[in-house]
Amino acid sequence: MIILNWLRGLLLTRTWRLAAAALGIAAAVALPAALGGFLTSAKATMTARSIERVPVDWQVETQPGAALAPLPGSREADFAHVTGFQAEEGGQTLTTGPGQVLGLPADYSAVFPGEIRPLAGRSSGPLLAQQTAANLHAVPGSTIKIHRKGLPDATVTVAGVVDLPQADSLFQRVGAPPAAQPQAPPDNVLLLPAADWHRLFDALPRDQIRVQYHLRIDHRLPSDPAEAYVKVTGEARNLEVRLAGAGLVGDNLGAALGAAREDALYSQVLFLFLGVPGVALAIALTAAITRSGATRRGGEQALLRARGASRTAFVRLAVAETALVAVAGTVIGLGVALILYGSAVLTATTIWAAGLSLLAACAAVLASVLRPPSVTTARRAVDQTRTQSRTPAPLRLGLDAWLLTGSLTVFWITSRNGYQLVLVPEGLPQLSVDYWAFAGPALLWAGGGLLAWRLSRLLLGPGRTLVARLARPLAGPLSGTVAATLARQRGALSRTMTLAALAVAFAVSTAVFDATYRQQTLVDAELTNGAQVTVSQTTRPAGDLAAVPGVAGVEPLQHRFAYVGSDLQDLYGIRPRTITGATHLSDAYFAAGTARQIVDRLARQPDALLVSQETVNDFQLQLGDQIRLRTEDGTTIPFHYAGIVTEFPTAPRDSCLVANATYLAAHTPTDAVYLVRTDGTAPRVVADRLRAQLGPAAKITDIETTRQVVGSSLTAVDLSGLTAIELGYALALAVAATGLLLVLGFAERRRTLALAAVLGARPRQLGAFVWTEVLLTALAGLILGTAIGWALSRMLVAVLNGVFDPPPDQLAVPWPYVTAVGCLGAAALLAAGTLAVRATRRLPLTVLRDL
Amino acid sequence: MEVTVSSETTRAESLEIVRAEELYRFYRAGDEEVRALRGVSLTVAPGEVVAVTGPSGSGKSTLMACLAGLDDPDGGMVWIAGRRISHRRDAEQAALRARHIGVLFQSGNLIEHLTVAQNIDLAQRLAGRRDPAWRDAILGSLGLTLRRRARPSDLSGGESARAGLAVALANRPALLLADEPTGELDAQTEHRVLSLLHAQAGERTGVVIASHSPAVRQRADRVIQLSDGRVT
Amino acid sequence: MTTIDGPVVECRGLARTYGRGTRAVVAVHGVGCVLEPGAQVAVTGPSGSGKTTLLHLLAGLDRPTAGQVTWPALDDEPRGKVAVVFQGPSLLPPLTVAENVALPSLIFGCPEAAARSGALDALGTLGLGDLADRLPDELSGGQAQRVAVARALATRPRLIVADEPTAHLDSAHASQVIGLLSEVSARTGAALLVATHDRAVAGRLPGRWVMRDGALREADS
Repeated sequence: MIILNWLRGLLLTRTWRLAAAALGIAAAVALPAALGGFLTSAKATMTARSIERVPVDWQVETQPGAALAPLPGSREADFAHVTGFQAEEGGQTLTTGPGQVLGLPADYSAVFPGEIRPLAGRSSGPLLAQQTAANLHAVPGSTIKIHRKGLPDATVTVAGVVDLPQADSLFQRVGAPPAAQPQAPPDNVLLLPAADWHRLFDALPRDQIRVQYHLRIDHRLPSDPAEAYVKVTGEARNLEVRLAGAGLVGDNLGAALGAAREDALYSQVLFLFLGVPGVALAIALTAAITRSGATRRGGEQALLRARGASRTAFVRLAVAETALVAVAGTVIGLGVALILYGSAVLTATTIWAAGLSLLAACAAVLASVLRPPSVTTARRAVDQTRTQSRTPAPLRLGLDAWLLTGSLTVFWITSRNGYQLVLVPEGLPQLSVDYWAFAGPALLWAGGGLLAWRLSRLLLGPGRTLVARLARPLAGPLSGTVAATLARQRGALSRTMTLAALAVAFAVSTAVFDATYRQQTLVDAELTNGAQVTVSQTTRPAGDLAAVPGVAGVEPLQHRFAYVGSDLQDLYGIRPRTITGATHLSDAYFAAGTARQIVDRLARQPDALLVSQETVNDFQLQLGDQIRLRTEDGTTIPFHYAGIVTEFPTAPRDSCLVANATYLAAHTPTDAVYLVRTDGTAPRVVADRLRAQLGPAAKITDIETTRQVVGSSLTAVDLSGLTAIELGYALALAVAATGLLLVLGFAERRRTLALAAVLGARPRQLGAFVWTEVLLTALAGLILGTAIGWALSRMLVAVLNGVFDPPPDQLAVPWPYVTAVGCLGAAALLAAGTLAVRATRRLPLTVLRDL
Repeated sequence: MEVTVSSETTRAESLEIVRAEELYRFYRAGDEEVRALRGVSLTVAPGEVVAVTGPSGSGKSTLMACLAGLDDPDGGMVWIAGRRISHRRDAEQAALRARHIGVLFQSGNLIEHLTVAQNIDLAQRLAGRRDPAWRDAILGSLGLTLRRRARPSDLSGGESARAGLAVALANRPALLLADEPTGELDAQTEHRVLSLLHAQAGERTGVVIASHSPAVRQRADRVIQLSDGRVT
Repeated sequence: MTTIDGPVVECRGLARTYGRGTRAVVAVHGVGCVLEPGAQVAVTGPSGSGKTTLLHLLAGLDRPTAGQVTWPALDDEPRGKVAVVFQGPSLLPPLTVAENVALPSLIFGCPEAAARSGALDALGTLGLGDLADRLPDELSGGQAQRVAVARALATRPRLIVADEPTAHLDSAHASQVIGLLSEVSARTGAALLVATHDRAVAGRLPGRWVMRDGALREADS
């Protein structure tokens, strides 16, 4: 009954303070809940995408000499090795190198959609892979010959042309050791109905034939990719055991989930990196809000003590007050998270995380509520006044310096040898995270915060002449008094300044990290796809492409194959002056020099050649050495070695050559690859238009589809949800830390201002007190916040380097957002100041009566 | 010593409500040491009104805090209703205070966010006795029946003073300690508050009033003059 | 200090009402009074009779709802020339005693050094020099009130308005404070207006106004 009356009274008279504290707790609860909800749904998306991306879950291959009964629900796929295909086209005979002929049942495409993509003609009967059709100049209706080893040639009529987007997994060597190089899919492929295949190839020697059973397993899998991975790989192994050596399982689904679980772990790491400081900040803010009512609370406790309340009674009332705000805060916080992410929030991990931060927030509030010691005797009052101006213990012990030193040391140790944040231990189904790496940024956070606190206290205390100088234009002769007032109140004000700095640091570091992440995602996808849209295998001139609506620019790229030793490598001819307009060339693609320097070198020297690091090592190349390259068609071209290229758009890693387009074209006929820049139209749409324009022979890929098909699942997950939460949250914290705390601080100092007003101070002079405080908070946020934020961004990006592929050249700063944080923070400060000044303009006597 | 104390207990219950022996209290204010109490002894019998006077800084407030068990003397002991209140655990001091003592300050006697009646209820709860009849009786005798639902910020100065007294009396205290209770009141209201205090003492309650008001001194049964922490 | 002829403060038909409609409270009504330079007046009356309101109106801290207040000897600008001593604790908590005393001078544009030495002088006069660097929290009630008086004197006012300045003081200190106020008034020619319910205090000042129910019943200055 006492407690109920107490709470009701508080609710009626201290509504705004309680609401502010409840909102602080709501923020502390909402962030982990929303992040957890996002993470859960992101993981589910990763699992779903992995499943979606894999047309054939398992390829069970019959082992030589073993007989394998067809597995229930499976489709038989037969592979025959052939020595080549041949077509007559306009009196000219065209032949290809070795290839594969696949025998598939009629319902194969229906059971495994996504494996075969029809491009032209019918979708049943003999189907020719697109590249083979291009090599043979074959179209639906063409007749081609199949060269069979040891048998006479067979003839089929092509019914359609298809694309095999998953050729890598379709033609994989099942049972290859994990360390083996992935095998390139065959260049030439023909698909036949099962009956035709058996008619043509049953007689082929057994070593030319492989028989597989393709399976789609039950897709009711755990939504967490790690759990799904464990389940799928376990079942695959179980099947192999049951087959007793008669068949091996090519676990495509397991492989996809394996990649996804690694990415899921990375996203979990992001969750921790970005979430923990946000929660810590919200808790600190809540504690500061609660503490701002300390004077009133001290009086109440003194009174209660006089009335015979024991310590237990205080604690009980404090707990009740805390519980009130906690319940309200939890309801609001979880409500917001549920609105944003629905039931995805309600997972064990999320509730655990939200509960933990709720507990921490409650502890902080309770500590603040219980903090003021009773002030019933003069002695105690004096003690309290004196402790106010004493340096807090963490600063006295120099904890900030220790933490910062520790942070840099840990960072140096962990990042010295290009460590891996996420470890994939050999032969273990579990992944592990090197949590040591967290220590660097965590210590930097804590140390930076304490340093900001120290600097604020130094400025307000020993640096008060500086404050007085700052205040002089506003305060005139009162500037010394203003500085003295702030110096005596530096406990609360330095906390406000520190929180403002930390909120800004949080916003800045989060924003910079997010922006860098986005930038690199784009770079990653561009590296794979070449540009927003890439067109190859067309004979049409660039002008035809440029005429298609939505195309802003077309950059031709010459492409050829050349022998490096016995290795056939991609040879690109670029136009050094214009290439960077069409695709992003990152510094990380090149060794010994920035992208710009290397490209400039190409521009200056027509016969310059960039080769891979491996080639340099193998052939002991020195800059300026002459290299003679033999192309596929036998031409030999002289070059001079001019630099190292490790990655290049559309090229395989560490095995490509880059030269000048004009020089290359002068020596050998080349295929043109067009890098198309769009005018803002969605790349997917532009790709469709180009496809309609150029016909089925051209190979057209767009960045969006590529991102989904080949990109890692982390880049496939849309992080905009995460970004929105993070940035919105950071913004709210920045506003709260600057504005709200100042408003509450002014409320505590109303008495001081009212007394000054009664003594004759003019509004402008009272304003000087207020605006000096506002100015100091703004400066702390601007200078300290930006500095800490910048340091944190650098460290975060360095520590999370593994998330980025390729690593960023420089941090991306999202200026619009940073400006928004600045503007809103300034607006909050202005509002807080204006409110305080307005309050002082109320007739001072009415204020004095309220005191 | 304990034996002596217990033998005194029976006598104490009949003859005195509070007994303070040789109280010493020192503390530091800023850089200087303040000797607030230097050997002050005091007993109060039921129904007695004792005025403690003296210039500011003479130790009045410290004496009151020691009597209430809110502060522990550096030397000496205080007994309330026969039980020692000095140098006990906080919870025990609080329990004694809640049961036997009513405290009235110059101002700020009410919890701001509770109504007058709720403030009285709170004091009764802390003392462990709910007594709505007594509550209504004191509200009535202090002329506050119509203001029972008002919050402290809505009360006039005189009403606040009376409401503070009502809360101090909520637990039917054996000892009422009033620290400058009339400092901010005009003569008329002061007179009324003093009459109420004396009316309380009339039955079984001892009253100690720290004040420099001549009116308080005149109407007290006994005056103790403090100067520099000593009784003069 | 230029002396201009005429009363320090003068008012006619003065009224002040708080609140509106049925909840309106009339604190002061129909008050007319004059205070000449050097006059020393005690204002007495029961609590709620409007003493404080009248003092605030005469000090220019509050505006009347009817009638008017003029300060002929002060060029009708009370700011900086009227000092107020309040009933309750009125020191600014974050400032030291010396800074508190110097504050009004600084507010009225006095340079810092001059304000500080003026403050120390005023503290010395009241025997409070030792307290200069204390914070208000470290003072007893009586000390705080004497510092508030020092603060009022430091600006060399032409009119000193004190609202129950001795409420928290024992008789010895009360006598000291009143003696000081009247001495300063006599020396500088400042008018002194003291609201009190303490007969001893009222008896030390030659003039006497009595307030009852918001009106001035007796005026003898």
